[in-house]
Amino acid sequence: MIPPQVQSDERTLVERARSGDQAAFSELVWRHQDAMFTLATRLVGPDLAPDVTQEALLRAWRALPKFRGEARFSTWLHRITVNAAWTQRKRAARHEAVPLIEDTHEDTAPGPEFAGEMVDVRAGLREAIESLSDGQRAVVVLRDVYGWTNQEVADELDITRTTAKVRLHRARMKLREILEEAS
Amino acid sequence: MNIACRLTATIPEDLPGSRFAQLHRSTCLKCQAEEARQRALLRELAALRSEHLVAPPMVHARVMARLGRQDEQARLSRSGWRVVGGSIAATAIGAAAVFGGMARRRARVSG
Repeated sequence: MIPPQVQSDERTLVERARSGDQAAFSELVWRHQDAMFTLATRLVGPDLAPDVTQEALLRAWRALPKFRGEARFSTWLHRITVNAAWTQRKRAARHEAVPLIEDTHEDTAPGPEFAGEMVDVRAGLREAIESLSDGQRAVVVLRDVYGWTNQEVADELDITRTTAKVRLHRARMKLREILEEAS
Repeated sequence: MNIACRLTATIPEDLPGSRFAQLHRSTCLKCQAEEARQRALLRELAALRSEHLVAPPMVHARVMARLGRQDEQARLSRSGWRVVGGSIAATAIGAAAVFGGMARRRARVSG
């Protein structure tokens, strides 16, 4: 739950950024880039994630005048990140893209709530997700990790709701297979 | 694994046939265990959301640098158009003056 003070502060920043204030946008980038980078990493892996995050932020800046505030700003940024990830993935498949930013680093240090065993399970799960096909990974990440509805997933990936469900089911089965094999 | 168990495992939720899967699961211990494993997987997946990766600092720097360049380009392009616009206007005024002069001279000659 975001405190109301922070929400209204964010609304002000978005308004200023919409009218071309780069300092306000810079602050928004600081606030949201980690969440966008995390989503991008889940969708395209750690090598392409910095490029996807950068591209998504630039797209957000260009699209800001059209942002009407109907969705939360973070949700809007997530959607742009998914689109940018999709574009980047297609481009990478065509040209074997070389990432623009080399110094990618992940904060993989476990928080205090993580027991050692849990970290192992999570690491295995992350690897299993990475080994899914692009389509399956996108569905499972958006639906099961980020809690989007089947309809939202279908709309965003430009597939039917039934395709989304079937893809999700197959992805879950595949994940379990991989995890069971690994254990 | 019998055919009913296999079907139950293959039918996605909320699709035709899932009612059959539900009924079968309610009486099959093997499928109930399977469902419990599925739920555990979903819990683990949902827990990934709380994980927080840190974007490389270069992301912020590069985005802001690109915005700066875009603004500069936009400014240059606006001033470029201003120069072009100014030249066109000056040419138009000059041409109007020449044609005006010619028209006045012709009127004087014929008058």
